Amino acid sequence: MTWTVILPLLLLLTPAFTVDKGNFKTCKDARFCRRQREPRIDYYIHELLVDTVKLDSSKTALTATVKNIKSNDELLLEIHGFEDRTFRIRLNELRPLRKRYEVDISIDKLPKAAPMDLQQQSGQLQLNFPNKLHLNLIYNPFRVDIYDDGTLLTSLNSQSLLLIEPMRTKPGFVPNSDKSAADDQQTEDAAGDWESQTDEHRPEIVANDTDEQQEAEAKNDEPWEETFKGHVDSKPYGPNSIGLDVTFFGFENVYGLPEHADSFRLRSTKDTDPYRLYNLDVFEYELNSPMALYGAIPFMIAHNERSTIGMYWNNAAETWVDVDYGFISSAGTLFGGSSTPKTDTHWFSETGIIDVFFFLGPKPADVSRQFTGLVGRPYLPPFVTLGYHQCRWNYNDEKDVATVHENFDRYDIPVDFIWLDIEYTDGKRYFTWDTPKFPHPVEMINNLTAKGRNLIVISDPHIKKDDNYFIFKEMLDRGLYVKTKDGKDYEGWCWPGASYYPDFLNPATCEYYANLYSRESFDKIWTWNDMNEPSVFNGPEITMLKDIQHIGGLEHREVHNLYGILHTKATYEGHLKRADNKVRPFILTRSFFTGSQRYTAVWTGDNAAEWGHLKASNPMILSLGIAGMTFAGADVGGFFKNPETQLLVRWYQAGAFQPFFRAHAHIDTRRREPWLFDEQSMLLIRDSIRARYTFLPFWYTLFFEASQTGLPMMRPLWYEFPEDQNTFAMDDEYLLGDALLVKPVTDENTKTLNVYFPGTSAETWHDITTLAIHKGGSKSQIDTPMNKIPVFQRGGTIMPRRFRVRRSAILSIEDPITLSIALNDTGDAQGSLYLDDGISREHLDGNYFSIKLHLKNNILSSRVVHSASAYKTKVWLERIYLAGFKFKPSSIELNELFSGQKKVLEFFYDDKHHVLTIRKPGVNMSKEWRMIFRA
Amino acid sequence: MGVLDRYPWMLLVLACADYAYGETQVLRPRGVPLIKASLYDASKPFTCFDGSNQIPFAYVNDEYCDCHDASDEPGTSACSQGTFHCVNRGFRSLDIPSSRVDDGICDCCDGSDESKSDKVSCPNQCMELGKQMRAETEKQMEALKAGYQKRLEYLELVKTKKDEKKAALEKVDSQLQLLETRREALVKAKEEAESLEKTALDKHKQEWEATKQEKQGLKEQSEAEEAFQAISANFNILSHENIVAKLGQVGENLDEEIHEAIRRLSDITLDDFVSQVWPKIKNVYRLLQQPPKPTPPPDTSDDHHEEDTEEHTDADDPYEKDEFDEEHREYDSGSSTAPPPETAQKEPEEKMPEYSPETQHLVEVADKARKELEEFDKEQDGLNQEKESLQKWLGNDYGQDGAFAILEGECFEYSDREYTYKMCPFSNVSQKPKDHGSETSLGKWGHWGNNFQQMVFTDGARCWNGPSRSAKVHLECGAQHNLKSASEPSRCEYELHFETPVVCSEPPQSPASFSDLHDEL
Repeated sequence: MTWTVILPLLLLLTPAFTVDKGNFKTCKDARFCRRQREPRIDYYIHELLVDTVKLDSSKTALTATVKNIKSNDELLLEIHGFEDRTFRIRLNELRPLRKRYEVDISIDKLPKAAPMDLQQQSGQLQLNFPNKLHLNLIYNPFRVDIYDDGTLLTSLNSQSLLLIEPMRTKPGFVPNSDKSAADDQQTEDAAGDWESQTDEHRPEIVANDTDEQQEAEAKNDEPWEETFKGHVDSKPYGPNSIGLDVTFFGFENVYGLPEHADSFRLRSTKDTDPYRLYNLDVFEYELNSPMALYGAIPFMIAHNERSTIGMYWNNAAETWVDVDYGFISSAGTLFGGSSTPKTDTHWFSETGIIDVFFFLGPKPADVSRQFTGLVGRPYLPPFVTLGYHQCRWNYNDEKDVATVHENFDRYDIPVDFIWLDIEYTDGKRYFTWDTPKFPHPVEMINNLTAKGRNLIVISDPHIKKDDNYFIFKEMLDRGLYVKTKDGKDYEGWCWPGASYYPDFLNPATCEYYANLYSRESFDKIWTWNDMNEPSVFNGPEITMLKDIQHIGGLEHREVHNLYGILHTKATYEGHLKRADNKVRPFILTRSFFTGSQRYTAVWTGDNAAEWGHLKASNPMILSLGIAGMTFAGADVGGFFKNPETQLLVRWYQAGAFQPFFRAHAHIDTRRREPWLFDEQSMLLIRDSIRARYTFLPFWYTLFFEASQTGLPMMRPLWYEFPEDQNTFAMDDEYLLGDALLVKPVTDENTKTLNVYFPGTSAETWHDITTLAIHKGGSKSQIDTPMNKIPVFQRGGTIMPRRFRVRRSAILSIEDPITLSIALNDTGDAQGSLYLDDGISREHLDGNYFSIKLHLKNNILSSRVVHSASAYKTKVWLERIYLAGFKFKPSSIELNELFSGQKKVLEFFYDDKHHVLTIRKPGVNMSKEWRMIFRA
Repeated sequence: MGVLDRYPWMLLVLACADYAYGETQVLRPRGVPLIKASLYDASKPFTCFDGSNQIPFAYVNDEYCDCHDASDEPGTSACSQGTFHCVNRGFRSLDIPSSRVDDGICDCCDGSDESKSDKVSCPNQCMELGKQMRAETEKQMEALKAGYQKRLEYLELVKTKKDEKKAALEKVDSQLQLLETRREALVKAKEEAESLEKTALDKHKQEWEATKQEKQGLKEQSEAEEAFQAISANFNILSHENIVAKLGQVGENLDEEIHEAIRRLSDITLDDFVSQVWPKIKNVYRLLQQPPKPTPPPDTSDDHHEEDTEEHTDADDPYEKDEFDEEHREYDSGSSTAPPPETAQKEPEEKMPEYSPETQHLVEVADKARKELEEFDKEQDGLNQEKESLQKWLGNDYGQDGAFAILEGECFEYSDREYTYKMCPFSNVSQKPKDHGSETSLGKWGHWGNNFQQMVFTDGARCWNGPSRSAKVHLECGAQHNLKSASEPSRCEYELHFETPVVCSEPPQSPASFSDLHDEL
């Protein structure tokens, strides 16, 4: 009795912020994970059947049969070569009982196919591709080795973990009568095929099962049906998971696999669960964990100082990835020979096919280009979305919105967006307003836009079950919801209570849903898509049952990780449609999949006001960035709990240098708009927001670059310094573009930070506040008073900035540019500037300016590499700062190449800091010019 | 933004006047207020106000920031720390941050901030706004005046009230003093009367006890004699076997002393029997006289029953047990139909005889003394309470001149869609759902905030999984008391707005001083 009184008290005293792990599966709870991960016995050995090798007439696709020599299961192997050092390797059941799902939304477009030459060798077949790349197919045991210029980089199935569990029919399974006739037909046909097979072809997994076993397993311990926390997964198609091992030779660092709250460099999972990719709404997620989070991109990069390889596992079912760092064992090492590192990875998914892409770099930027060339480049968002976003759950009513808006002007803090969370709706019915609180939404929106600001409202996918709610009714009548395994509309619980879930696999659903964004009072605002994992409060792991059905009898299991991307794609299309394809969409999403960067920005979900979460935001955004999801951020201040003032200030300083910059807070937290703190802190927060705005031309140029090359704006150091081994495990400092080195303060009471400056000693780094110069390859202790986080401009770069900080980004779009130039040790620098109207999609038709700037031999020149056809800009050159300029020029002459005019410019030289300031060159930025510095 | 931002620009070139004009007759660069017009002399190089730099006058308002203090760019957005002065003739002039100049948004009613912008054309609305403002100002003035008038009345009221309270306090104080002197006498009288009463009552009780004992003695004597006769007639009545059997029946052992007494029975006189033997054997004898009882059922599993029968056998913890038994017995006697055997054996208790007239008189005298003291104390308590409340009123912080005292004891309500809010100054704030449901405390009176512009209520009902609710009441001048709004901007932190004449200050004499039109006249 005493204990029952005391225990709850103790629980209250322990820190309450922690994920309820029991809600989520471990590998042990996911039966296919256990099966795939358990040690293997020999019958999984596969052999490539030489006689079956076929090359298509274009010599770009090779097929062959791979046979499990124990079970005689036959697999179809496909190998495709593409230009730009890209390969695709697919393995599927040769004759599956039921078609296995193949993910296609992730693929934007396949690169141009590259032909291959075959070279028969003993026991293997060599496939030669352009650029000294070749693949070796080893027959028995089956293996694929990938070589670059004779060096073995990676190998598939070198550990014989290849396993595709063949589809079988369930004993006593009767096809569901509610299903479509076509589907029934398919199942029956498939069953017929199955029956025709002989017993010895049956996989032993089944053959070995005794009746008792089957009976015991029928309860819970059986592959046909599993139960988790009372939720029964009927698994009508039985176990059919897929798995494959991939080893990277010579690599001891792998990255990627977002989304996890973990270090940027992936950890060995030898003693933990594998990294899990299964989109889930994880309440109060835990740091340093391989647990699944809201989104999934099964993409990995292996990097060493010589080369960089990307690998993409194109599967949307529940997926786990094991990582193990080790060494290649060879006789040489026994006697002190140098050991070569390797990284073993093991990938397995619950269903679908093995569909793997390899991107052979050889540099990080090449991998980004190759990968996003396949899955799509990040779209160029509206210019204003790069500004500061003010969000809270919730701004309560129109007056609240107006007051917050006014206060930004009163305290002269720039802001571009005010956000409304779920409480603006009429009872969580999206696309409606809680009219007593928001009686004049259009007027409210207009009041914001009149000051150059915008509104974003949330729109979650769940639809309140209410016959009087038009959306519910219309989607019900059209049959646009997902169905239970019995074919009834599926009902789950979310914010509104009982809710139905749109089936975004159904094009009719997407079309209906997209049209909602044209509704009055929603037609001019942008969108926040949340809860789209999907989150189902009463479902297993807070999501949907896996045997839920989508259109065409597709199981939710097969497409789970696509729900978010499909939801946001429908929204994206709605945004396009309502504006006649003329205006860029903007959507923030919580759930995502490979390719989401074509439609959305993403944030790292429901973090907390803790220093650890501020620290974790950097590796999380870096991981997203290298996986293509470049427009990413974390809730500034932390979503749950109340931040200490110091934490909040530091978070703003960090957030200002991350791609997506939004403050957000839980409904139970205290208000925390900047002016609610002491004046000193308010000013610090204001300074960091204003600093963000001064960098917007630079940011926008980086966003454009990302949309062209896939290079993330926020980059790990090794992206720019691939040979600098010191940077391989670093995730507390990073680069913006190739020009800015940032190390945010992420610990309380940090007085100084030890900063590493990447590169060789020829590299220079200019402290943007003190102008002190640091050499590459060195470390320095940098003071970090409350008004500073360490930020350095790399010598040799030119950054466009704007020092006129307006109320919002859109109001600055025609303001003049200041060029911040940091010279390298040879006195050179280069950079670029992108200019367009910031909002329309005309840039897709070439209506933009892309300008390259070069400083060499004391001549700074501007070259327009792309000139807009119809768009004109007033943006002119206000000022140039040159840091590291070694001498005071006798004169500076501007030569306007377009007009032939020459003028002598005024300047000021600071010989203490070696900074040259050039006053008002005045030239239009869309014109070419040359500036000559005379000694 | 850092050091790079701060590089001053040194003057090298001579002035070349490109004079800008203000909106009024006085020639001055754009964005410069009249009072600073003389600092911009087109015939001379311009010196930054902070002296940091000197530039050709042509560099004033040339869209390049040359001065740290932004003084060279009063009419452009070039300096990030600058301000732009809108004349706003007909309305009130305004200083806006430079960043709002030529940004495409009309900030000045005369449109001067966007005069060089081609993004927007801002019509001059100052005259109209000025008209509106004057009308509004007048209206506001009315309200202010009315409010202030009310406030003066309140002050009078409060003054009267204060005087009343003071007087009342004095009165109560003197009453209390008076009472204090009287109390001693009353206490003394009561004590004396009670002392006499006690003596009389004790005596009465003693006498009665003596009578009772005498009666009891006689009764026992005759019983003993009867027993003596009976035993003399038949010694077997007290035969060893008989006694042992009987005692066995009730589960007791034969006491050695009784045994000894019985052995002496044959050669004993009646007197010795009565005085020496009878007290020892009477219990056994009485027991023997009883008709044999049927053996109790051997059911010992019933704890309750066992406890009943084992009352006097458990001596481990006498205090607790006694207490328990006491209660238990009471409960039993009240609920069981058959009286317990012990009491059944006893004669019905004799009633105490009535008091003698003298004693009765003494009791009545004491009763009266007691009652008088009781009533006196009640009166004194009442006065003390009154004193306390008067002292509280007089001691409360009702603002510098005490005007807030008018709100003491008052409550005000405000209803929105869902709730009715009730705010009782100096007491509490609460919220009640309109349909049904119980009242929730949003806070008890805490303290003043912001120099008597806010009432802060703290320590209300606890939020689920959160802090205690609290409420801040912002006070505004109004012609009458009016709880204007209530909201919950953060969870469990409420903000209310209350209009009251109490915070109205004296309105300015002339409405003209409300605007600074004179600035530009």
